[in-house]
Amino acid sequence: MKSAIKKTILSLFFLIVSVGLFAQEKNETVTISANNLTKEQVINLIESKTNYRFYYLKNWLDQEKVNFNFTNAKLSHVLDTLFGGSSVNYFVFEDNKVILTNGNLIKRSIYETDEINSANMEDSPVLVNSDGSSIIKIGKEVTNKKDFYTVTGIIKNDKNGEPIEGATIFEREKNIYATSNEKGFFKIKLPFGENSLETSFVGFDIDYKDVIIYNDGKLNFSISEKSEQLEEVVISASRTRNIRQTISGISQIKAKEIKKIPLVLGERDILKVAITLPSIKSTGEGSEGVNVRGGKVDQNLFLLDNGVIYNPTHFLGLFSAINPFTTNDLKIYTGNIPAEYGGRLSSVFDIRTKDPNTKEFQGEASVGPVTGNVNVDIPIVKEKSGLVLGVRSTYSDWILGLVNNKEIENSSVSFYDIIAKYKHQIDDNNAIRATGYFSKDQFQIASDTINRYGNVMGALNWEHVFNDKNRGNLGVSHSQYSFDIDYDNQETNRSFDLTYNISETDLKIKLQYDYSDKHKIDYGLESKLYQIKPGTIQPKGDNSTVVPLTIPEERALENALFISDEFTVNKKLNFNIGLRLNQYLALGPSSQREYRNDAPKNESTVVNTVEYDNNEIFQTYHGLSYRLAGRYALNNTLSLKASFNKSFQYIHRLNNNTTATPIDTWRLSDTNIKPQEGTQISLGVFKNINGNDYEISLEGYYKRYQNLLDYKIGANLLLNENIETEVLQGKGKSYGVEFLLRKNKGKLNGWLGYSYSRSLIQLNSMFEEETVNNGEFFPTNYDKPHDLTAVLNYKFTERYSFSANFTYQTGRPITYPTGKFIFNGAEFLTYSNRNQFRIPDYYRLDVGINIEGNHKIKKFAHSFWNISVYNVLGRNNPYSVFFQTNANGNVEAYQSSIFSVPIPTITYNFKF
Amino acid sequence: MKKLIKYILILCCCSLIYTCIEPIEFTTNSFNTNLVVNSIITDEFKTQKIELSRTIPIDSLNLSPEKDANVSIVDDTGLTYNFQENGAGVYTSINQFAAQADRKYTLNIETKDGNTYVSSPQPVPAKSTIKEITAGIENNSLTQKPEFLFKVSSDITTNTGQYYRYEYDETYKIRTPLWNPRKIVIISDTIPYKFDLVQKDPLIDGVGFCFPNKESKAVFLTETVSLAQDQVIGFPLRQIPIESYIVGIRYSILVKQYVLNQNTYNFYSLMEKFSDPDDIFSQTQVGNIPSNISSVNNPEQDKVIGFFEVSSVSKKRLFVNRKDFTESPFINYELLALCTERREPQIVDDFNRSPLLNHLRIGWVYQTDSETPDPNRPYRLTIKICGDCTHLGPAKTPDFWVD
Repeated sequence: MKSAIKKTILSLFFLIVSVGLFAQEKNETVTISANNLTKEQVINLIESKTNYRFYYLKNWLDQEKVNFNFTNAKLSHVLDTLFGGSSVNYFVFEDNKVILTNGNLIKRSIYETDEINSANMEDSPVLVNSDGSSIIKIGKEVTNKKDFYTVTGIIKNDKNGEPIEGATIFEREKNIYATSNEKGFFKIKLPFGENSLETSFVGFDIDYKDVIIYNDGKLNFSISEKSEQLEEVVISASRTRNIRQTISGISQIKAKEIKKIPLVLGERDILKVAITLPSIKSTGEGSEGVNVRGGKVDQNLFLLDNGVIYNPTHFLGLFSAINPFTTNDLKIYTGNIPAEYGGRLSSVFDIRTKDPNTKEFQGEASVGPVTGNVNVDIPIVKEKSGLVLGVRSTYSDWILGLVNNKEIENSSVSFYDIIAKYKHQIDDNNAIRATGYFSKDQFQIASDTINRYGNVMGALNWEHVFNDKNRGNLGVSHSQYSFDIDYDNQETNRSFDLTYNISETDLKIKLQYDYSDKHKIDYGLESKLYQIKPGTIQPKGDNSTVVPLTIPEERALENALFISDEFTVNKKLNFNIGLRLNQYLALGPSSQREYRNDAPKNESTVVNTVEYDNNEIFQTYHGLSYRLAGRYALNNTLSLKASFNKSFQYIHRLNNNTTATPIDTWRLSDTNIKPQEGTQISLGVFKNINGNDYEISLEGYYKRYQNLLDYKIGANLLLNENIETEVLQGKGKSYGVEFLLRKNKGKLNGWLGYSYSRSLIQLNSMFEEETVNNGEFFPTNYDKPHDLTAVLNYKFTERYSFSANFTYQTGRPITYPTGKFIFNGAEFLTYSNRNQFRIPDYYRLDVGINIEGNHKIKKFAHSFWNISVYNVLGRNNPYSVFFQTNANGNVEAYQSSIFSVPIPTITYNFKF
Repeated sequence: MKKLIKYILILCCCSLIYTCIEPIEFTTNSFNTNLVVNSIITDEFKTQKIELSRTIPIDSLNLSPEKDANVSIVDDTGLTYNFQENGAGVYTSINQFAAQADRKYTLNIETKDGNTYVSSPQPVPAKSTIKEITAGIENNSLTQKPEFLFKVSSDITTNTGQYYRYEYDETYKIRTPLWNPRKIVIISDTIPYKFDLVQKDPLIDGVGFCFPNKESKAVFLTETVSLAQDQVIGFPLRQIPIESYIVGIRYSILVKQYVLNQNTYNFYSLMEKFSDPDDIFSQTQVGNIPSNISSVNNPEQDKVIGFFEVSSVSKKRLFVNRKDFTESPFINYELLALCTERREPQIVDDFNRSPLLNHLRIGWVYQTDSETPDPNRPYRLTIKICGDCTHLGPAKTPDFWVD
């Protein structure tokens, strides 16, 4: 196992060569006589006489002349002599490659070679053992021994040299561990003598090192991604993050980890995995968006490489619009959102695209029943810059054509998304990343109406290291979401084309200052310009007499200053204190209505309409948002966390359906629509058992909201110039407890989450017209008290694994009919209070089998099969229950479900 | 294997689009009884009608008319029109009247339990007349099957946009599959049983045709407010599958076009929306629709269902013959193939009962004379609906009917 892992490792910075590889090198011998030659000349000579090829930079070699003679000598012998007095080190690979490395690096590192390198012996505290075994000696032995010594080092990804954050180094038997920071740096205190270290990072192989500690020293790890092995399905990235992180309610999902989870129609979907966490819920299959801890769908900030994505889903929420293959990871902040993020109350979904491989061309493709997906890594300047490109497209339309049903034949659904990320590492202190994203959806289900919607996003980020203590990030992004509805029926005079567009331009400067071991400060500013075109309708065709109408553009600027301090009081106690000062400026041109105070807002109660000029600030809101979090570690495996925070949101998503749809409109706060506010208090206990084999957490929260936006019955929200007459603002509250048990290792792994949560809203007013349910708190559309999710993965062999996913949820609230009446000969219904009843509970079991292709290293493509059955129980989960007056004028009850039968899919994907 | 994959793909996509919608049993426990007001006052000079009832449980089949109420309408000049109860829950104006264009009308109701209800004052919307009703055969946009489509257009007016509601009242000629001009009359239904065969009276029994009549039950709404001119063009009102016997011979549709006040339109559009609230992926938030009638005694709790509608109305009738549109055959209401059963019951049996009498009473009718020589079995009978169509509509030609 160890040797197999090591075979895949190749890095210019950190090289780990096993004994096995050296055996091959020893087969070819060298006969050479050097007479007053430079090192470079000697290398050229060896290259000309043997099959060895050397890789190095010329400026590493000094001009000192050497003289020696060897006959049938081992290459290592020759090279030892050649580089004996210099700082250059060498490594020989099985395919006769000789790689030279610069001594400066060597001094900070340890190399596992078979032989002692004299260059290292002089001034490095790192000693390489000389007896051929794999034990590494660290430090020079001294007479007055201490009990513990500090070993520091860096953990990097051997493939691209990127430092790995959140990896864990541990001494299993002694229960000592450390976690790497964002630069990959770790620091671990180990007792004198023999220690066995291993690394742990999800999605990466374990690296083992047996070390003997004599003194303080350095030890680097270079670990390789588990691309060719079945991985465990694990959500948490870090062994101890659970315990040690100050902020509670952060989940991280690595894109690579999700491939074992059963798929919906063969689509690997990082957002669907997120929903399996106890704090995140969706209204159901076929509804957009997620509800985090009882928050509204619009209270989640989806960031893709720091650019906001307004609608991260395809096909009415059935698939996520985030390409799973180009995604590196997704961090979800549900508890205490760091002060650097603002503008949403409930959560931040921070999706990061993977950095390009700057070394070699690499690709991956996937073929499923609904989409095809290709993504490639293209190095541009070797070691410095590269491009990740991912394209995903559906081809389901042709399948629709095969179906012998007129209704389906005339339907069409298509979507695609494209993502490109460019990274340029200018030097050690500067890196530039640019991401472009485009998604488009179009659907037409048996009607004359074509709906289209899509996102466009561009983000540019410059990362700069000022010095050891100061780092900075400058980011600029621009995002757009738009939809259009195209109704074309030339038989009538009503054909139209309706468009909606929202765009956001964001500038963010974030600086990090490591003041001391105790204080790590982040500060900066962010400025966002919102521009909304809330709707334009144009007649379509010659017959149409639709009046063109454009609702005036809305614009606003949201500025924020933020500062946060990660304050480590001592090993057990630390705090994260953040403040964010928000300023919201609603900008003209605009005409704002004033309504009578003593009457509900409607056409007849308008007192005055005030016109504002271009860029005139007509409404200002200020808010101080605070984010306080604390952690107290009772011991290494048990900690308590608490947080208290307040946030503001100036943008509102509107729809008059019970679930979110792609044609929901976003509107800005103005003089009549106030910003949403939310406060949350949460408390949690986190426990790791048996290293991090098991993680258990229990968290409780209570949230209050002000000015949640809802709407009057039958509100018309599209193309409405005076939206304030149709919407209501009220208070909300949500509370709950969340339990998560996770098993990270072993043949059987996975997690089990349960949450009890409530989400309530109150729409009260002195006017009956603006009151719902008599002004009392009532359940929101997404109030689902019980939620149980289990994700299990069982590994039979390295190639075969089985996975299952079970979900149970309380049915969502619904307004039920309570009676009926006859009106103009037809039956109509009277209704209960809003959301007084519930649809039947939801449960679903999915299973999947994953088959890896074989592991021949030189095989052209590495393949992977996934066979999944979604909803294997065939449970007819009601998506909605509704009542229709039939042709005879009688009322009938129906339930609709999206996936009512088991859905098998096969997906094939391969890497090349 | 290829086939299998194809099958799976199709399966996936079918289920993707074919979301499952199925009827379910439904009952609710809570039930409130509210006053339901169905009142349309128009600019037609006639006896105006208002219907009052109570909401009923969903599974109830019995109507609950609101009896013994005092109903009146007052205009803004103080002129009062009183109503009297004329059938359970149906109140008609004592005098005929028409809503006047420049007046506002208020509805007052006092129920027998002493509660009073009053509407907000309603103006009379501007008038718009039906220009034409057109008939044609088009493919249904969903099923792609051909169907008769009746569309209505209004005359252009000088008004800015208005709100429209349509109703229709359709009458159609149908043919009895097995018509015989003679019928059996019962002379004596006790021993000795006696029957006679007589000629049918064309004025009562018709000549083998019936004229069913149906009123629309759905809410048909449109508006011209979003259009540049106040004109409805080609509003699709009635679709009938091409093979239907409704358009088998001759068909007539009477279209009523109401111009509504905006609040009335909003009320109806919510009624319409809530009667079909599901769109597979999105569901409209339903709730009780606010009325323009409210309780004087207890406005918070005692909600009124329904609306006081004041509209202007225009009517137009159209006749069409099937043969002018299509030569294709239609399917009669009862197939001849299903009308093959014949019986020749005895006038009197061994137990002194009359099987013939029983057959006539349960709906068998004369088809031909019996071919058996048995004088106790003189008639050959067929099922009533095969030999008679009056279960669907009267055999008498309606007064307005033009052939």
